[in-house]
Amino acid sequence: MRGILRYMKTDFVLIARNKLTFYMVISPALLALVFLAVVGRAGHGSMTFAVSADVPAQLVRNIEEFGKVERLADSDAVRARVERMDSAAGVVMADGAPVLIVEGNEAEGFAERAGYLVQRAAAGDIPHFEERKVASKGNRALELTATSLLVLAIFVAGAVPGMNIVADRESKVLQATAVSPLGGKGYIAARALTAFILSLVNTAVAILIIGRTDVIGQMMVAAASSAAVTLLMALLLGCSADNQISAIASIKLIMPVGLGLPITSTFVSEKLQFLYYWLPNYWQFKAVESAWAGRYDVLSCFLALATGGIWLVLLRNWFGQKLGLR
Amino acid sequence: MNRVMSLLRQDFKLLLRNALFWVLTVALVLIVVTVWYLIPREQTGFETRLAVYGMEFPGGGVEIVASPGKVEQMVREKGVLGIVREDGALTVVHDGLSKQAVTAFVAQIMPPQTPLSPIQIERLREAPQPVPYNLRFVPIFIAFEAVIVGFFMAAILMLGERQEGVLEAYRVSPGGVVPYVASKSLLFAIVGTVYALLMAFATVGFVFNIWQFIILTVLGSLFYTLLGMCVAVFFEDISSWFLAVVPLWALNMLPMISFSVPTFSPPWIEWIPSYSALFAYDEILFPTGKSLLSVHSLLSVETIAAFFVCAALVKRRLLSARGCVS
Repeated sequence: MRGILRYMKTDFVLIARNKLTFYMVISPALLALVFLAVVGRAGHGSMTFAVSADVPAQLVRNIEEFGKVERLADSDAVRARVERMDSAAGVVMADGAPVLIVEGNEAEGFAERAGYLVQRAAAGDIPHFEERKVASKGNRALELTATSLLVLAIFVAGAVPGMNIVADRESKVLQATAVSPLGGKGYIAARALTAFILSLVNTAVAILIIGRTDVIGQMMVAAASSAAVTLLMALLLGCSADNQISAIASIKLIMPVGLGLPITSTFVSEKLQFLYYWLPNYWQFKAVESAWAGRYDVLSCFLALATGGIWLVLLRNWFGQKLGLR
Repeated sequence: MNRVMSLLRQDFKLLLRNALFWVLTVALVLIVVTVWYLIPREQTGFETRLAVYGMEFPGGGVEIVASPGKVEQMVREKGVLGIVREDGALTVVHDGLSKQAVTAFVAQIMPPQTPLSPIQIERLREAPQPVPYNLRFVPIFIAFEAVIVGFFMAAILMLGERQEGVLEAYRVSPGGVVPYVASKSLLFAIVGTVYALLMAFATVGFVFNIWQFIILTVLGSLFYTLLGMCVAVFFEDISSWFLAVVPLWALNMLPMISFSVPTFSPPWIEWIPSYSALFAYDEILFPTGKSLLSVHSLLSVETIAAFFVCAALVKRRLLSARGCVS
């Protein structure tokens, strides 16, 4: 046990000393902050109208009630604006009446919706209503983004000891460890413990930075139940690369499988969800998703541990062989 | 030219030794499988959901609830839009939508007070054929995976050479800066283009303007490779470099949000090079008749500028006597 703890201590000293691993710990939280801010804003914007200078001032003011207005010199400038990459509607005047210009490739119903709003603006028919703003936990897109970034935080917890395994392979420390009293099992246990503690720390840091302390308990349980998945990721990385260059190339592959595959399950119908049941990271994703919504998903947590454990047992010989550990 | 070719051959061998070929092959297979089998052909899920009290509301994604309090609760918990109608007054409960977006929404659900005059709608081009939902992801994979291969790999090669002292040997050889930069840029322009083409062929098929696609990918890959090298010259080792490129990489991916929500297009996001590239790939693969001359021209200018900046930086920081001392 003392040997395992000594190795774990070395891991944390390395993390503190090495900028790469330190950065890997805080980066998911920072990314989460940026992405959640942008994704949060993306769904809250309004339509953009590009209006030419000949559009009457009152009509422009009325259009401004429905969306952002960009005032342009003439109809050619409006057409050029509409042709840009984003979806914006143009308004010009012809024979004293407003004409709506759209590109034609916008989302279904865009032209009709924009046209209707210009009609209402032309009639001076601005609806009156009360509004009340309340703080929400976010919509589905935000929930998915948050879940993905929190799973990334846990994934990183596996990648850090994985990189340390690569470093040990590169410097031949692993060979020495194999014949030391600690042995292969002790070495793996030390790495597993590092991954476990890091996944709890990363998740807590991410949750604190995002500001969802109300779900910290649920998230800690989800992170703890990811222990087998993080160790699996660490060993996969450690076994697939023998130097830092290859390790970065390996992360490029392991990451889409570890993170991307569970995300695709959100696009798949309920009937076909069983196709993902063999993946521990699918259950991990489900557990984190539920935690974000404030629920303790005991079944997903258990299955993340169980399927992860089964995979570790199935691959143990291969891991042992690749790492040269007994 | 011979120098460029010989350096190019050398770099290619180095990449093969570091399993790049296998990494890209497996990544390609994963992407194709994701597009064809995991992402559905029709979008499900993300439609706006409404919680309504006190009025009829036709259409999907609507939940009629029993009390105004329940509306507010749903807005808080699920981020939906809430509508409460009491005593003829309408209240919209939301989690931070812009005033204009709410007014536009209310205008669409409340009938006009007077009959509206018809409006002429001018479409700049024919509405394109609808594109299956799964194929909508192909431009994202190409722009954020294939095109940026060089951004990471050229830097890794360069840093590897720096750490192993290869650059010191190169400095006293008759090679020169331009062949050094050109060989790496060309290598990844070829790798990126082949990778992107295979991705497009395997998902969309062969019915798109292949020459336009190749021009865009060559320019994009050259630009990102040069950008990657410009950043890498400031670092001594892979760890410190990784620290700096992850935020850049994440920033580069932000236009994906504008691509998903085309009405969200703040000016700062349009300055990110991947913004125009992403929409340009969409136009090439699913044409609507839009000219891409401006995108190609801008990218050409950016690439030429990046080449000169990169050559100057490599000369100053890597191949000068001062730069090589580490």
